[in-house]
Amino acid sequence: MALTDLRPSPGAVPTSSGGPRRVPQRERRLPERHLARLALAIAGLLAALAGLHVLLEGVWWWFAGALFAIVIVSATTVARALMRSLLLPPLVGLIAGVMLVTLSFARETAILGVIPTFDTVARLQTVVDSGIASIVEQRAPATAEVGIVMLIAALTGLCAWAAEIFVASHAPAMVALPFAAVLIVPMVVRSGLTDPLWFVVAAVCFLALLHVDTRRDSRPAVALTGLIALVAALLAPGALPRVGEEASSPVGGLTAGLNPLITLGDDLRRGDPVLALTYTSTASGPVYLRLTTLGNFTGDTWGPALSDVAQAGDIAELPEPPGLGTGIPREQVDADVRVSQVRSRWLPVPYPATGIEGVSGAWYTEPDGLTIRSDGDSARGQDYTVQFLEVDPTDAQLAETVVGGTAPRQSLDLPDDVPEIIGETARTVTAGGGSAYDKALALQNYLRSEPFTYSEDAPVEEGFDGSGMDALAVFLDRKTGYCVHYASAMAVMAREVGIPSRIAVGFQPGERDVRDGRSQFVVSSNDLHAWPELYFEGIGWLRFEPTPGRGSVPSYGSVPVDDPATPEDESTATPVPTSSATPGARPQDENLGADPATPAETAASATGVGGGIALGLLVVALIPAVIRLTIRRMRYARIRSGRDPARAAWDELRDTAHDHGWTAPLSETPRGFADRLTAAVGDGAGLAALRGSVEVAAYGRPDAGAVTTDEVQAARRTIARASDLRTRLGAIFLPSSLLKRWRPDD
Amino acid sequence: MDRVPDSGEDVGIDAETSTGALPLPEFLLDSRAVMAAVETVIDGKRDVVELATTVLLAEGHLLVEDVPGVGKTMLARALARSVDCTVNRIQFTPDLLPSDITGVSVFNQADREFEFKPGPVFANIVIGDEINRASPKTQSALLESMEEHHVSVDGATYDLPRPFTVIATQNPVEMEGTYALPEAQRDRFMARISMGYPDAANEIAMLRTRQQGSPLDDLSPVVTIERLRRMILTVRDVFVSPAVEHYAVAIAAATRVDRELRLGASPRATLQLVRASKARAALDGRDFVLPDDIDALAVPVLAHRLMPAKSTGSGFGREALAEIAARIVRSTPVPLGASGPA
Repeated sequence: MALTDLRPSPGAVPTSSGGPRRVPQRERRLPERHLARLALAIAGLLAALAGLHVLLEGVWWWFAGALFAIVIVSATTVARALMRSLLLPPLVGLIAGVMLVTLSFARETAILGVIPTFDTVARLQTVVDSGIASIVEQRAPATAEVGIVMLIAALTGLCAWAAEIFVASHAPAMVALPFAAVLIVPMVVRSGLTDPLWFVVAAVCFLALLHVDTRRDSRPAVALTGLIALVAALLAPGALPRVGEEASSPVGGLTAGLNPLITLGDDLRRGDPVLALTYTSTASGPVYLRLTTLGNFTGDTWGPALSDVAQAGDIAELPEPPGLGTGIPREQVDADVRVSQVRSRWLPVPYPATGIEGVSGAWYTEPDGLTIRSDGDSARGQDYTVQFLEVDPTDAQLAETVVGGTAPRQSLDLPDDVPEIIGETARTVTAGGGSAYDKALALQNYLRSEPFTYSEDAPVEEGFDGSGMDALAVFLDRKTGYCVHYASAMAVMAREVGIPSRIAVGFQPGERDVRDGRSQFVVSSNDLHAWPELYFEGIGWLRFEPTPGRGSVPSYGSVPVDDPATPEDESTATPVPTSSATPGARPQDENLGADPATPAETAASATGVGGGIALGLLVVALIPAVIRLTIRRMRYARIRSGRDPARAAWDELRDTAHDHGWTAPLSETPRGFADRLTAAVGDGAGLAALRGSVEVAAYGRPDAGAVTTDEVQAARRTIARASDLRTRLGAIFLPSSLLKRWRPDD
Repeated sequence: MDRVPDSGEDVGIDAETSTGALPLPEFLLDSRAVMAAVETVIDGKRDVVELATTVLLAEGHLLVEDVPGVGKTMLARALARSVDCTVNRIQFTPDLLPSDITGVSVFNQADREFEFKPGPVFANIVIGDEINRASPKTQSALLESMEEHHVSVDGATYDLPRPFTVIATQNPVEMEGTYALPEAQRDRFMARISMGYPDAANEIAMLRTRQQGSPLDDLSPVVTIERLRRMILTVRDVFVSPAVEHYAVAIAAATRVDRELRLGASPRATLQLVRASKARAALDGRDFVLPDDIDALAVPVLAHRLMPAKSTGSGFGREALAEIAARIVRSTPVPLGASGPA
C-alpha cells in the first residue's frame, strides 16, 4: 500500500475529535475525469435508448433523445463550472430541458419560442395524450409519432439529468437507475423483447464508468454494487407482472401481424381502450366486422388457411360467398365503416361482403375467407362502404343440414393427438343427434351456459392461455377463458363431430351511439373478438357465438315460416322447433355494449396494470434499502468469521451514523467518533462497548479480543433511538451512506 | 517500535535488583503519583504535566518554550524531584562553554595523568535553562550528548547515566539575546510544549502557596530510580499494531508533501511519535497504542520540527505550525483493522 493512498484528496474536509472543522474551498474546476464520466454516462444512456429500436420504427426518435440528453447535461455541466451551488446547476439543466421541450413541441404557444405559457402546458398535454394513445394503440414496432418522440425525448432527458447528478455527487453506481429506467421499457412492454446488444453496450459503459471513478481500495465494494445493480436490472422486469404475453411471432398484432389471434388476449387486457372504428349499417341485426379467418388448425394454434395466403383477387369483383346455396334467404344491405385506430393489414368487413367502395390503397381479397387485405397499406383512417348479405336460412333449411358432404379444404383437419376430453365432450354434448346445425347449436349452448365463465385474465394467470389443443383441454376442465378459447373450443369440437369449421377474428358489433338523429355503432379495441364459423353444405359459412357474455348470438331460423322473404320455405311445411326448446339458445340480440362484463373486465385489467406499475415502483424504491441491507449482512458475516471484524464493525457503525445524518469522516478515530456521537446521543453505553471491542480488535495485540454483531446492533440501536422517525425511515430506505461510499472527501 | 521486551540493559537496569517491566496496574499507580506530585507545584497545568511525564517515560527529551516567569523551570525541577534520581541544572548564558556542560579533563598532579571531571550533564535529569541563550557551539555540546547518550572529551568516551532526560527551557526566539536552535537540534527533542499563562483562579492559588516559601521544597520523591527504569520497560512493552504504524507514517509523510511546509517530519520524528504514543497509552492503562494517542501527541511531537514554506511568508509562528500539524492530522484517514491501512 503506497503512502499516498492514505492522504486525503485535495478539497478534503478534515475533522478531528471535537476540533473545529475547517471547510476548504471546494474545487470548482471540472477535471477531465469528470467529463469522461459524464461522457460514459451519456453513452450508456444512449445505448440503452437505442435498445428501444425493437419497439419503434425509424431512427429520429433516437436523435431526439440524444439531443435532449446532451443539451440538458451540457447546460448543467456549464452551470456547475460557473456556480458554486450544489442545487442550482441541476435546476439550470431542468430549465434547459423545459425550454427545449417547449421549443421542439409547442413553439408557437411560447413566448420567444422557448418560454412556456399556459397554452404551452395545454399544448404539451395534448401531445403527451396523443403519444400515450399512440403507444396504447400501436403494436411493436410502432411508428414514432410526434407524441411518442416527445415522451422518448423527455424520458431520455430526465434520465440524463439524473445521471449527471449521480456522477457529480460521486455516486456513479447510481447511474444504473436511469439506465435501468430506459432498458426496462422494452421488457415491460413485451417480456423477452429486448436487444441484448444494446443492453450489453449500456452495461459496458456503466462498468467503465465505475472503473474510472473508483478508488483502488473500494473496488470490491463498487464491483459488488455494480453487480447488484446489473442483476437487479435484469431481474426487475421478471419480477414485474407481465403486461403482455410473449410474442411468438416477431411481428404480431394488428400492425402487421400474420395472426391477430395470438395477440388478441393482450389487446383485450389493455387497460385503456381506444376507438377502433365507427359504422352505420342498414342491416337489421348486429354486424360482426371480420379482419381475417383462420382455418388451419395445427394443434398449437390457428393459422390462416393456405388457400387464403396463396390466392388473391381484385376487390372490384368480390367472389361469390363460398357454399351459399341459391335458395337461402338473403338480403343485400350495406355498411359505412370509418376506421379510426386500427393499424391492420386487413379491412374490417362484414361477411359475406359482395362489394366495397371508397378504399384507398392497394387491397386485394382472399377468396375463401372473403377477407380484404393489403401488403403495404393500413386500415387506419379508411372510410368506405361495403355491401354484404344478411344470410338467414330458414329453420327447414337448417334442419336439413347433415354431417359430412363436401367441405372446404383444411376445414375438417385435426391433428392425430387431440386430447380425449375434447372429443368426448363434443360427442356427449351433441349426443342428442339431429341435424348438423342442431349439433352446432348444442355445442354453442353448452359453452354459453353455466358453469362456463368469461375471464380475460384467468387463462394467463393459470397458464393455459392460447388456442392450441393443450390449452383447450385445460379450458374445458376449468371452464373459464375468453373468446379465443371459446371460439377455438367450438371450432375444434365441431370438427370432432364432422362439421367443417374455422375461426374468424374481428370486432363484435360495439356500442350503439345515437347522434344527430342517426344511430351509429362505436367499436373500441375492447370489442376485438374471435368467433367460430361453421360450414354447412348448401348454406355456407355461418357465424356462431359460443363466448358467454360477449357479442350476440346469431338467430338463424328465427324467421317465421310465413316470412315473405322466404316463400320457398313454405313447401317444407312444418316449423321445426330446432332450438327454441333450449332457453337462451336463441335469445334476442343482446343489448349491445350494455354487457356488464366488459367494463368490469376493463377496470380489472386497468387495476392490474396500475398495480403492476405500483409494484414496480415499489421494487425500484426498495433497491437502496436492499443494497444497504446486503452490505450489512456481508459485514456481519465478516465479523462472525473473524475476517478483519473491527473494520467491518466500524464501517457498519459509521455508515449507520451517516444514514442518520451524521458525518463520519475517515480521518476520525473510533474513539473520537464514539465520543462525538455519545455527546449528542446522551446514552453512550452501546457505543462505548462497541468502541472498546473495536479498539482492542483493531489495535490491540493479535487475538486480544473479538467484536460481536450484538455489539454492532446495540450501537446501531443507540443511534436510531436518538433520531426522529423521519430520519430513521430515511436511514432504512434512502441510506445516504450508499452515496458517501464513493465520496473520496468524506 | 520495540515489540520484543528487552532486558533493559541500556536503561541501566541491574539484572540482580530488577524484576523487569512493571505490571500495568502498578505502573498506573506510580505514574499517577508522579503526576500528582508535580501538580502540587504546577497548578492547573494538567496537560503539560502529563505530557512531560509522557516524555520522561518514553526516554525522550522535552523542550519547554514560553515567555519568562510562567514556571518552565519549576516544571522541570518538580518532575526531576518527584523521581529519586540525580538532577543537574545548567543555566545557559552567552559565555557558557561546551566544557562547562560536558566536563573537562584536568591534569592530576598527584597521579601525573589526566583525570576527567564530569560536567553537569552527568545526571539522570538535566535541566537546561534558557538553552537558547547560549552560543550554538555550546548548545550542540548538550544536544550531541542527548542523542548519543555519551560524552566524548579528549578522545575518551564517557557514558551518561540511564535513564537520561534533558528538560530544556527556552524563551521564544523573538526575544532579545537568544539564538534560535537549529532545526537539526530541535529534532532531538521528543516534544515541545508551551506552558501558557495560568488562569485567574490558579494564579491566585499560586500566590497563596508561595506565601509560605516554595512548594518545591516540600516535594519529596515518590518513585525510586529503579522503579522509573521498570516503568520505562513497561512503556517499551506497549504493543503497536501495523494499523497504527501506518497511521504514524502516513502523518509524517503528509507533512513532507504539504504545500505550506518547507521541511516535514523526519523519520526520527516518526519514531519518537510512536514512542511517545506508547507512553501515553501506558499512562491511560492500555497495553496497545490507539490512533488517538498519535492524534494527541502529533502536534507537540511534530510541530517544532516543521518549517513553513517560504512562499507563505515569514509570519509563521509556533501557533501557525501547530495549526498546520493539526490540520494534517485531521485530514489523514485513520486506518482501522488488522490489515492496516483503510
